[in-house]
Amino acid sequence: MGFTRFVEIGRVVLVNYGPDEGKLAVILDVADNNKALIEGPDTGVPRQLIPFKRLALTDFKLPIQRNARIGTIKAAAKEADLYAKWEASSWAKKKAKKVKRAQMTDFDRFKVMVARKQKSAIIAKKVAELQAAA
Amino acid sequence: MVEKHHAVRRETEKSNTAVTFVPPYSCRLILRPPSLALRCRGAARPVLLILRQPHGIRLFKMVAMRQYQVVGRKAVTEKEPNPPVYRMKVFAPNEVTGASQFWYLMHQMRKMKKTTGEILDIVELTEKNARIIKNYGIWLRYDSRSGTHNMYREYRDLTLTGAVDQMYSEMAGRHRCRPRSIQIIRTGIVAAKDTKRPDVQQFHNANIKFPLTHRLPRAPKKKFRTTFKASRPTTFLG
Repeated sequence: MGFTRFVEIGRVVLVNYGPDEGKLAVILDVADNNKALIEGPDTGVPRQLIPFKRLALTDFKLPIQRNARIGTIKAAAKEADLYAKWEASSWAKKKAKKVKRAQMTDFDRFKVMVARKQKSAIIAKKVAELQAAA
Repeated sequence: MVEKHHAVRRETEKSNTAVTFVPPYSCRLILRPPSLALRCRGAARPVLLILRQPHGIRLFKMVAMRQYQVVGRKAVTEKEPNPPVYRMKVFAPNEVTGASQFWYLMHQMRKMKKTTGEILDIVELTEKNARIIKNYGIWLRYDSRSGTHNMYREYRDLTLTGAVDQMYSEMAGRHRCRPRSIQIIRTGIVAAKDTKRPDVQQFHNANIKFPLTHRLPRAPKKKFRTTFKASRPTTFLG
């Protein structure tokens, strides 16, 4: 099992710590073995040096040059349909689910509990019917 | 030891001829003593942990070094009505320390000291282009436990002050050297072909590609950190 995600120019990354936590950005240059220059013009991540510890590499890579400008990054992201692809990934879906669950109120959790009970009642009823028929 | 303040001295000598008693300084002196102004300006500026620079660049700094241009001279006396003005670029966390550095270094080169001198001007120098990573060369001199050494180091950073920060941390880590025993002789942006250190050169590659191995999942906030986990984390993330 080899590596498929690399630190390289154009690699789309997810910031997982600090003020830009949870936002997508693109690697524009590598400073040293700990830090990279990133920017996320569509997600509001300012151009900055950031340690790799604060980044998670994604499967996506944009065809951009080193030190690309905002316009180039935006155009490349649009061309590659980056954000739609990201939203469709299971990683993004899991993240969205986590956020949604965190935002739920006590009443929301109660409604989920009721819904789950109703679901399992329907399943149990159907299973009983099928067993009786068999 | 021969190289001692080689570049700084050249700088001051050059400015000695270039900056010689400019009238605005005398006007400012009459209006308010610069030492007082300095203290007021220093006090008014809070130390920020996250600095936003003009170009929308975010710099993470715990101890932010800044670069100041300090202009000073001996105080005017009847005997010496027109003392030469010296300019020096120093690295310091704030203006007060910047002025202090100026006197420390000037005192070693000229017969000048704080009590009989005055700071005419102190301005912060900011990076012209903080949008791209550059190679910074830093020539320095430091006192170790057993002697004094000259050194040349290279760093890659967006700003010179960032490179200086890296240098102080690295000198502390590798040589157990405190900032007070480091004197920066010269700094400069080095073109990729002129760099000397292989650990800097290895990043001069537009097609650079390497994986991040053994990743530990990081809690999104400090308050969510835990010492113990219920399950063993996945460290291979492809």
